[in-house]
Amino acid sequence: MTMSERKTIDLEQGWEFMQKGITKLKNILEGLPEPQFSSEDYMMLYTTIYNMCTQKPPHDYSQQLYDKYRESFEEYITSTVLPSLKEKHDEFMLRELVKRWANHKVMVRWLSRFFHYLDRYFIARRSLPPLNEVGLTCFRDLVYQELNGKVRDAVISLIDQEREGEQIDRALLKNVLDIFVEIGMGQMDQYENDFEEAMLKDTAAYYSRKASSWILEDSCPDYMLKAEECLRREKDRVSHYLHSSSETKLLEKVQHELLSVYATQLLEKDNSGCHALLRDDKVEDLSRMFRLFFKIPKGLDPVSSIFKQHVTAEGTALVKQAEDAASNKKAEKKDVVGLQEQVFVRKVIELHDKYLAYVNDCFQNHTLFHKALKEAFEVFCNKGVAGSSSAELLATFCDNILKKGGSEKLSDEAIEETLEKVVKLLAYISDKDLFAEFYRKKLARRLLFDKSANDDHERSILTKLKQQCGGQFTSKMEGMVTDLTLARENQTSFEEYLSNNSHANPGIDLTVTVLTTGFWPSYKSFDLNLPPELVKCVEVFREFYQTKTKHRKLTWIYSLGTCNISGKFEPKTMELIVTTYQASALLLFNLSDRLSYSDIMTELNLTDDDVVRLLHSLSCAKYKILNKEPNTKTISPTDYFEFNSKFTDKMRRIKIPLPPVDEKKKVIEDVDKDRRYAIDASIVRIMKSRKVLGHQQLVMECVEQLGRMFKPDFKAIKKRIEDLITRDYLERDKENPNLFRYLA
Amino acid sequence: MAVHRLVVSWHMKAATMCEFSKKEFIGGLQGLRMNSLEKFCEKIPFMRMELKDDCIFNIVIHFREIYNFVFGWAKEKGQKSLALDTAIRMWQLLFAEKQWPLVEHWSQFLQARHNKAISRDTWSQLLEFARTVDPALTNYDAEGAWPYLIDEFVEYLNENGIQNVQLNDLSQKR
Repeated sequence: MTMSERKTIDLEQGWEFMQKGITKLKNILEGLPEPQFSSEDYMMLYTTIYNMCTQKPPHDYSQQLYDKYRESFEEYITSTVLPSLKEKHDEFMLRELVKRWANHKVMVRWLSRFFHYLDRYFIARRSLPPLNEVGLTCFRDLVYQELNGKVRDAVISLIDQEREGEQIDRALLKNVLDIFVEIGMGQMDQYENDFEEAMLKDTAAYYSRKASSWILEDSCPDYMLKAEECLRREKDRVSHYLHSSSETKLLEKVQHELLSVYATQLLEKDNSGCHALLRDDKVEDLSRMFRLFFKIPKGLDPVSSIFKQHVTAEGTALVKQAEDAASNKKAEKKDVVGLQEQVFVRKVIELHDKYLAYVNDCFQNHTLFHKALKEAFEVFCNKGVAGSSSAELLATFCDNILKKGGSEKLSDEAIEETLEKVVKLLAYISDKDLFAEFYRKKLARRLLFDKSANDDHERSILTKLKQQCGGQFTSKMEGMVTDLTLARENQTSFEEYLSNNSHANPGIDLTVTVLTTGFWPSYKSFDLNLPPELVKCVEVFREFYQTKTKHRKLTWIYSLGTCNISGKFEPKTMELIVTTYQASALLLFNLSDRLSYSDIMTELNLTDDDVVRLLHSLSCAKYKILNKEPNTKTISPTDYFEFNSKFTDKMRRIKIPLPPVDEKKKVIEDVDKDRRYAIDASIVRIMKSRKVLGHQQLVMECVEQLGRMFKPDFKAIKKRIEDLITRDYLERDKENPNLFRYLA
Repeated sequence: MAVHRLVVSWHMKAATMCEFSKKEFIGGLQGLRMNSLEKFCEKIPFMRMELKDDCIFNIVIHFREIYNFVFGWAKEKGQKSLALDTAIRMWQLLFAEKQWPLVEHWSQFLQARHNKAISRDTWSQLLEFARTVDPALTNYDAEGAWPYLIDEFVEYLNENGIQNVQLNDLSQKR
């Protein structure tokens, strides 16, 4: 068949044929008995359209057919689809709609195949909406526009039924909601505007009602259980039939109504709120609280603030407890007070362990809670107990662990672990310099009096401190430990020297520990008049030391020395372990039997305090090596002393302790002095780079620079600024007295 | 000691209290355009005026200049600060003219709590304090850069409830 031979089909004739095909299709859709389309049928229909579109004008019916294509849908919808939908309601209406929509899509598919030639040529050339779109638009404009309000209400009412625990046909809802999405033809506008908005509004209203009654009836944990369950169900709902884009919006609504609105009321419920949960260690409920409030904006702020209050209160209670214990025990025995403080530090460590675990587990390591924990510990860790600052307590605690025969008997691992925790606590203490100074004093005693239990532990805590506070913090302490190793080597070579130079041997075993001045705490030197026997020792060692180095100056610190002397008492000869001070005093009695207080004081060249202390240890304490006249319990400047030749003890070797002077005051004074230098240096550093700076800023920067070591007092900074003005490092601006200038 | 002497000394740019070098003496008198004792005596009451009256602009400047001059003039040579008793005498003299109502409390406070020499900075800032902070301390800023001693003084006043008394005194005067 060629083109020229083809008979022209006119519109009416052609359309009549098409109409038959369309009616057959409708019948199939309506479920009437009708045989399926054969390929023959389909071919004929397509060809008819093809022919009608390819005839020469005026017999090209493309436009007319395009219009008729749309009209076919419109006719079917108005005559059949809409009436059938309108007579049904609620769930039945929804079912009908789903069915009609499915049919409609089938109809579009078939019709657009029949008319396919239009798509290929006419539509493409005129840039008209393609057949498929025209088909869907018909449904949107005629059915969807008419019914979407009703549909939406029906869906929402089903959702609410499900929320109340009824079983609903989820598949149906899914299909209905798919219509909202599909009808947008790639846009979400219909779903969002015609359905989602109302659904969210209804959700908010639903949970607002629920929350208002739950908050009154339920305890905080029950409420949270319900809230969590609701959120889980809503999430489930999204995955089953809502569009996935609704999830965030929906959950936000629910969270807002259930949690944000009632946050304060919920968290502060009297016997079950956040306070109570912390008090009763309700770990699971707290974890749930975190999970819930984590999701709402600023939701964790009140939780972390309650957490901080709780930890602060617990810690403050520990401080008070220790304070009470200390004041009760004070009357009885002094060393028991020390034990109480030891217990206090232990308890603080336990408290920290406990709540750090809360932060890590319940609160999922969240920074807000780390911050709260830190701030809480900073509050009570800086309070101090019974006149001792916490810096001192921590240093004493470490000393007790590290020294031989300390009150704590622990395995190596336990010691390591405890040290680790003490160092962690140190982070909360603002006076780190004070800790360092106390620590150094105690370390010096441990090292010099051979009281340190384990060298490895000493080094290990220094490593930990270094990691946390920086190298500057530990450099002196490390120097001290190293000094001691060097001193041991030095002693070996001294002994060698003596065996090679037997003429130099003083006849007394002498051990000298040579230390580096800068590393160690400052001690009084050369204060004592040594007895001639010991003077000789000093000279021998000095000679030896000269052979090793020419440029170093030896300073002798007698207050730290120990002597082993033999006392020839009438019952038996005994070995006395005493300090150099005590030995010097005792040796005086080799020459005279009886000495007055003032004799001893002039001979030894010591202060009243020292003389009283050492005479007390020899005549009034446990071992009475000297007899005192009059025989009273205290030393007075008018007393006389005599060697007690009748003295004896069941042991052959006894140690006569000389109680150390209370160094607390000196340590605090030293730290104060160091702080003045540190503030000066900091101010000069800042001003050197800034040249001109306001008072407030200068103070703030100074606090920031020094905060790592201590919290400088504003007044102290002010004093230092004024001092620097006097020393011409700074001047006040002539116009503005709040402004300082650096004078180079 | 009469307050004139401060003013005369200032005119002569004298380096030390109670001493004039020949150069200072002649230079000062030339500056004042005086060539006889009579003229000098005539001028003296006006010198007092220079301190007293602070409603004219250039005289305000005079007072501050004289005030700051006094510190260097009255201190011991070679010292950086001014001995407390001298400082208190000078303040009483200077502020007697200026009528700073807290000067007596200030002197008492220094003797009770401080008892050390006064630095130049504290000296010059005290004038600022007397000028700008009202005696009831309503506009005193604790965060400001006032010297430490002045902060302490304010604390002292508050502790002793003195500022209230002052306030009452002032209102009675008005």
